[in-house]
Amino acid sequence: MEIHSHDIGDVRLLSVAGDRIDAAVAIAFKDRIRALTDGAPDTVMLDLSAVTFIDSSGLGSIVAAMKQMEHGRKLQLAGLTPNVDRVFRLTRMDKVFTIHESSEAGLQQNGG
Amino acid sequence: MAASTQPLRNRAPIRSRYILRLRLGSDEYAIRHGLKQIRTHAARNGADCTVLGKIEIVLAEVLNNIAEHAYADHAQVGPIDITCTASPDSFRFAVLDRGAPPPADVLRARPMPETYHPDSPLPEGGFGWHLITTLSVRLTFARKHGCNCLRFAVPITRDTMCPKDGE
Repeated sequence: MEIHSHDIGDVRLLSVAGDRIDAAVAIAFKDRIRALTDGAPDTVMLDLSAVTFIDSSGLGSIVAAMKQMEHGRKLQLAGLTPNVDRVFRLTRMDKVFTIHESSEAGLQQNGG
Repeated sequence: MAASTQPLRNRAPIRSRYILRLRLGSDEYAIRHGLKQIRTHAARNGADCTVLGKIEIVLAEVLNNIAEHAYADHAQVGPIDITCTASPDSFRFAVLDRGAPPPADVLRARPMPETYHPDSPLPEGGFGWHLITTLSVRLTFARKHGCNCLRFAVPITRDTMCPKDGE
Protein backbone atom coordinates (compact mmCIF):
# COMPACT_ATOMS: atom_id res chain seq x y z
CA MET A 1 0.00 0.00 0.00
CA GLU A 2 1.32 3.39 -0.95
CA ILE A 3 1.75 6.00 1.76
CA HIS A 4 3.23 9.38 0.86
CA SER A 5 5.30 11.20 3.46
CA HIS A 6 5.83 14.97 3.63
CA ASP A 7 7.26 17.07 6.44
CA ILE A 8 5.30 20.32 6.73
CA GLY A 9 6.57 22.56 9.50
CA ASP A 10 6.69 20.43 12.66
CA VAL A 11 4.34 17.81 11.34
CA ARG A 12 5.00 14.71 9.31
CA LEU A 13 1.99 14.18 7.08
CA LEU A 14 1.44 10.60 5.95
CA SER A 15 -1.14 10.33 3.17
CA VAL A 16 -2.58 6.88 2.60
CA ALA A 17 -3.12 6.33 -1.12
CA GLY A 18 -5.01 3.00 -0.92
CA ASP A 19 -8.76 2.90 -0.40
CA ARG A 20 -8.89 -0.11 1.96
CA ILE A 21 -7.09 -0.89 5.21
CA ASP A 22 -8.31 -4.44 5.74
CA ALA A 23 -7.00 -7.84 6.81
CA ALA A 24 -5.20 -8.25 3.47
CA VAL A 25 -2.91 -5.27 4.11
CA ALA A 26 -3.04 -4.59 7.86
CA ILE A 27 0.38 -6.04 8.73
CA ALA A 28 2.16 -4.39 5.79
CA PHE A 29 0.39 -1.13 6.64
CA LYS A 30 1.57 -1.24 10.26
CA ASP A 31 5.17 -1.94 9.20
CA ARG A 32 5.11 0.87 6.67
CA ILE A 33 3.74 3.38 9.19
CA ARG A 34 6.39 2.31 11.68
CA ALA A 35 9.14 2.89 9.10
CA LEU A 36 7.70 6.28 8.15
CA THR A 37 7.35 7.51 11.74
CA ASP A 38 10.99 6.69 12.50
CA GLY A 39 12.90 9.91 12.99
CA ALA A 40 9.76 11.96 12.36
CA PRO A 41 8.88 15.25 14.09
CA ASP A 42 6.88 14.88 17.33
CA THR A 43 3.55 15.11 15.55
CA VAL A 44 2.64 12.63 12.83
CA MET A 45 -0.64 13.11 11.01
CA LEU A 46 -2.23 10.26 9.09
CA ASP A 47 -4.42 11.52 6.24
CA LEU A 48 -7.13 8.90 5.67
CA SER A 49 -9.27 10.89 3.22
CA ALA A 50 -8.68 8.36 0.42
CA VAL A 51 -9.65 5.41 2.62
CA THR A 52 -13.25 4.31 2.13
CA PHE A 53 -13.11 1.10 4.18
CA ILE A 54 -11.33 -0.02 7.33
CA ASP A 55 -11.96 -3.19 9.33
CA SER A 56 -10.96 -4.16 12.87
CA SER A 57 -7.53 -5.38 11.75
CA GLY A 58 -6.89 -2.06 10.01
CA LEU A 59 -8.01 -0.21 13.11
CA GLY A 60 -5.72 -2.42 15.20
CA SER A 61 -2.79 -1.53 12.97
CA ILE A 62 -3.39 2.21 13.49
CA VAL A 63 -3.65 1.71 17.26
CA ALA A 64 -0.45 -0.34 17.19
CA ALA A 65 1.29 2.38 15.18
CA MET A 66 0.34 4.94 17.80
CA LYS A 67 1.56 2.73 20.64
CA GLN A 68 4.90 2.33 18.89
CA MET A 69 5.53 6.04 19.00
CA GLU A 70 7.76 7.11 21.87
CA HIS A 71 6.44 9.01 24.84
CA GLY A 72 5.49 12.58 24.07
CA ARG A 73 5.02 12.00 20.36
CA LYS A 74 1.58 12.00 18.83
CA LEU A 75 -0.22 10.26 16.00
CA GLN A 76 -3.14 12.37 14.80
CA LEU A 77 -5.72 11.47 12.17
CA ALA A 78 -7.33 13.53 9.45
CA GLY A 79 -10.03 13.23 6.81
CA LEU A 80 -12.07 10.28 8.08
CA THR A 81 -14.66 9.23 5.49
CA PRO A 82 -18.07 8.10 6.84
CA ASN A 83 -17.33 4.34 6.95
CA VAL A 84 -13.97 4.90 8.64
CA ASP A 85 -15.46 7.42 11.05
CA ARG A 86 -18.16 4.90 12.04
CA VAL A 87 -15.58 2.26 12.99
CA PHE A 88 -13.65 4.77 15.12
CA ARG A 89 -16.82 5.97 16.86
CA LEU A 90 -18.27 2.52 17.57
CA THR A 91 -15.01 1.32 19.11
CA ARG A 92 -14.59 4.61 21.05
CA MET A 93 -11.26 5.15 19.36
CA ASP A 94 -12.51 8.59 18.30
CA LYS A 95 -11.87 9.56 21.95
CA VAL A 96 -8.31 8.29 21.89
CA PHE A 97 -7.01 10.03 18.79
CA THR A 98 -6.96 13.69 17.90
CA ILE A 99 -9.03 13.71 14.70
CA HIS A 100 -9.08 16.60 12.25
CA GLU A 101 -11.73 17.23 9.62
CA SER A 102 -9.03 17.41 6.94
CA SER A 103 -5.24 17.46 6.77
CA GLU A 104 -5.40 21.18 5.91
CA ALA A 105 -7.39 21.90 9.08
CA GLY A 106 -5.07 19.67 11.08
CA LEU A 107 -1.94 21.39 9.84
CA GLN A 108 -3.45 24.75 10.66
CA GLN A 109 -4.28 23.64 14.20
CA ASN A 110 -0.75 22.38 14.63
CA GLY A 111 0.48 25.86 13.73
CA GLY A 112 1.63 24.89 10.25
CA MET B 1 -46.79 -10.14 -17.28
CA ALA B 2 -43.01 -10.28 -17.30
CA ALA B 3 -41.45 -11.88 -14.25
CA SER B 4 -39.64 -8.70 -13.27
CA THR B 5 -42.87 -6.73 -12.89
CA GLN B 6 -44.70 -9.29 -10.76
CA PRO B 7 -45.29 -8.34 -7.17
CA LEU B 8 -42.90 -9.87 -4.65
CA ARG B 9 -45.43 -12.25 -3.07
CA ASN B 10 -45.97 -14.08 -6.36
CA ARG B 11 -42.34 -14.81 -6.94
CA ALA B 12 -40.46 -17.95 -6.07
CA PRO B 13 -37.66 -16.69 -3.78
CA ILE B 14 -35.02 -18.94 -5.27
CA ARG B 15 -35.34 -17.20 -8.63
CA SER B 16 -35.62 -13.79 -7.13
CA ARG B 17 -33.24 -11.02 -7.96
CA TYR B 18 -33.37 -10.29 -4.23
CA ILE B 19 -31.19 -13.28 -3.38
CA LEU B 20 -27.49 -13.73 -3.99
CA ARG B 21 -25.62 -16.93 -3.18
CA LEU B 22 -21.84 -16.98 -3.16
CA ARG B 23 -19.13 -19.51 -2.36
CA LEU B 24 -15.77 -18.03 -1.39
CA GLY B 25 -12.38 -19.24 -0.32
CA SER B 26 -11.32 -17.99 3.10
CA ASP B 27 -8.24 -16.05 2.00
CA GLU B 28 -8.18 -12.27 2.33
CA TYR B 29 -8.40 -11.50 -1.36
CA ALA B 30 -11.31 -13.89 -1.94
CA ILE B 31 -13.03 -12.16 0.99
CA ARG B 32 -12.41 -8.76 -0.58
CA HIS B 33 -13.89 -9.97 -3.85
CA GLY B 34 -16.91 -11.47 -2.07
CA LEU B 35 -17.55 -8.20 -0.22
CA LYS B 36 -17.51 -6.37 -3.53
CA GLN B 37 -20.10 -8.75 -5.01
CA ILE B 38 -22.34 -8.34 -1.94
CA ARG B 39 -22.04 -4.55 -2.20
CA THR B 40 -23.05 -4.65 -5.84
CA HIS B 41 -26.03 -6.87 -5.01
CA ALA B 42 -27.16 -4.65 -2.12
CA ALA B 43 -26.74 -1.48 -4.20
CA ARG B 44 -28.87 -3.02 -6.96
CA ASN B 45 -31.52 -3.60 -4.32
CA GLY B 46 -31.56 0.00 -3.27
CA ALA B 47 -29.11 0.13 -0.35
CA ASP B 48 -27.74 3.63 0.15
CA CYS B 49 -24.14 4.27 1.11
CA THR B 50 -24.87 4.17 4.85
CA VAL B 51 -26.45 0.74 4.61
CA LEU B 52 -23.74 -0.44 2.21
CA GLY B 53 -21.09 0.70 4.68
CA LYS B 54 -22.76 -1.17 7.54
CA ILE B 55 -23.20 -4.33 5.48
CA GLU B 56 -19.58 -4.26 4.40
CA ILE B 57 -18.08 -3.87 7.86
CA VAL B 58 -20.37 -6.46 9.51
CA LEU B 59 -19.78 -9.02 6.80
CA ALA B 60 -16.05 -8.30 6.67
CA GLU B 61 -15.75 -8.96 10.41
CA VAL B 62 -17.78 -12.17 10.13
CA LEU B 63 -15.63 -13.42 7.24
CA ASN B 64 -12.37 -12.42 8.94
CA ASN B 65 -13.45 -14.34 12.04
CA ILE B 66 -14.07 -17.44 9.93
CA ALA B 67 -10.70 -17.11 8.19
CA GLU B 68 -8.80 -16.46 11.42
CA HIS B 69 -10.58 -18.85 13.78
CA ALA B 70 -12.83 -21.43 12.13
CA TYR B 71 -10.26 -22.23 9.44
CA ALA B 72 -7.19 -21.38 11.50
CA ASP B 73 -5.93 -24.98 11.57
CA HIS B 74 -6.89 -25.90 8.05
CA ALA B 75 -4.14 -26.35 5.52
CA GLN B 76 -6.30 -25.05 2.71
CA VAL B 77 -8.64 -22.12 2.42
CA GLY B 78 -12.03 -23.46 3.31
CA PRO B 79 -15.30 -22.73 1.60
CA ILE B 80 -17.60 -20.03 2.93
CA ASP B 81 -21.16 -19.98 1.65
CA ILE B 82 -23.01 -16.70 1.85
CA THR B 83 -26.66 -16.06 1.11
CA CYS B 84 -27.77 -12.44 1.02
CA THR B 85 -31.48 -11.72 0.81
CA ALA B 86 -32.81 -8.24 0.27
CA SER B 87 -36.12 -7.61 2.01
CA PRO B 88 -38.07 -4.38 2.42
CA ASP B 89 -36.69 -3.64 5.89
CA SER B 90 -33.27 -5.30 5.93
CA PHE B 91 -30.60 -7.29 4.18
CA ARG B 92 -30.55 -10.79 5.67
CA PHE B 93 -27.44 -12.96 5.67
CA ALA B 94 -26.68 -16.61 6.26
CA VAL B 95 -22.98 -17.43 6.39
CA LEU B 96 -21.86 -21.08 6.52
CA ASP B 97 -18.42 -22.57 6.98
CA ARG B 98 -17.05 -26.06 7.61
CA GLY B 99 -14.38 -24.99 10.07
CA ALA B 100 -13.87 -25.50 13.77
CA PRO B 101 -16.74 -24.59 16.10
CA PRO B 102 -16.37 -21.24 17.85
CA PRO B 103 -16.16 -20.90 21.65
CA ALA B 104 -19.43 -21.63 23.45
CA ASP B 105 -19.97 -17.98 24.30
CA VAL B 106 -19.64 -16.79 20.70
CA LEU B 107 -22.84 -14.79 20.80
CA ARG B 108 -22.00 -13.01 24.03
CA ALA B 109 -21.78 -9.28 23.44
CA ARG B 110 -18.41 -7.79 24.28
CA PRO B 111 -19.13 -4.12 24.79
CA MET B 112 -16.37 -1.61 24.29
CA PRO B 113 -15.50 0.52 27.31
CA GLU B 114 -16.99 4.00 27.22
CA THR B 115 -13.47 5.38 27.41
CA TYR B 116 -10.01 3.90 27.54
CA HIS B 117 -7.99 4.52 30.64
CA PRO B 118 -4.89 6.52 29.74
CA ASP B 119 -2.65 4.37 31.96
CA SER B 120 -3.66 0.99 30.58
CA PRO B 121 -2.48 -0.24 27.19
CA LEU B 122 -4.93 0.25 24.34
CA PRO B 123 -6.39 -2.89 22.78
CA GLU B 124 -5.26 -3.67 19.25
CA GLY B 125 -7.99 -6.22 18.63
CA GLY B 126 -11.31 -7.48 19.91
CA PHE B 127 -13.24 -4.83 17.98
CA GLY B 128 -14.74 -7.15 15.39
CA TRP B 129 -17.45 -8.85 17.39
CA HIS B 130 -18.50 -5.52 18.89
CA LEU B 131 -18.96 -4.06 15.40
CA ILE B 132 -20.99 -7.11 14.34
CA THR B 133 -23.34 -7.01 17.33
CA THR B 134 -23.77 -3.23 17.19
CA LEU B 135 -24.62 -2.96 13.50
CA SER B 136 -26.66 -6.14 12.99
CA VAL B 137 -29.95 -7.49 14.35
CA ARG B 138 -31.44 -10.97 14.74
CA LEU B 139 -28.01 -12.52 15.17
CA THR B 140 -28.16 -16.29 15.67
CA PHE B 141 -25.60 -19.06 15.56
CA ALA B 142 -26.08 -22.79 14.99
CA ARG B 143 -23.68 -25.68 14.65
CA LYS B 144 -25.21 -28.33 12.38
CA HIS B 145 -23.76 -31.26 10.46
CA GLY B 146 -20.22 -30.06 11.00
CA CYS B 147 -21.02 -26.54 9.76
CA ASN B 148 -21.11 -23.21 11.52
CA CYS B 149 -24.10 -21.15 10.46
CA LEU B 150 -24.33 -17.52 11.46
CA ARG B 151 -27.46 -15.57 10.55
CA PHE B 152 -28.01 -11.87 10.94
CA ALA B 153 -29.66 -8.90 9.29
CA VAL B 154 -28.55 -5.36 8.63
CA PRO B 155 -31.57 -3.07 8.94
CA ILE B 156 -32.38 -0.55 6.25
CA THR B 157 -32.50 2.87 7.84
CA ARG B 158 -33.95 5.66 5.80
CA ASP B 159 -33.71 8.33 8.45
CA THR B 160 -30.05 9.06 7.94
CA MET B 161 -28.24 10.09 4.85
CA CYS B 162 -24.70 9.09 4.03
CA PRO B 163 -22.77 11.63 6.11
CA LYS B 164 -21.68 10.81 9.60
CA ASP B 165 -24.73 9.03 10.91
CA GLY B 166 -25.36 8.55 14.58
CA GLU B 167 -25.71 5.13 16.11
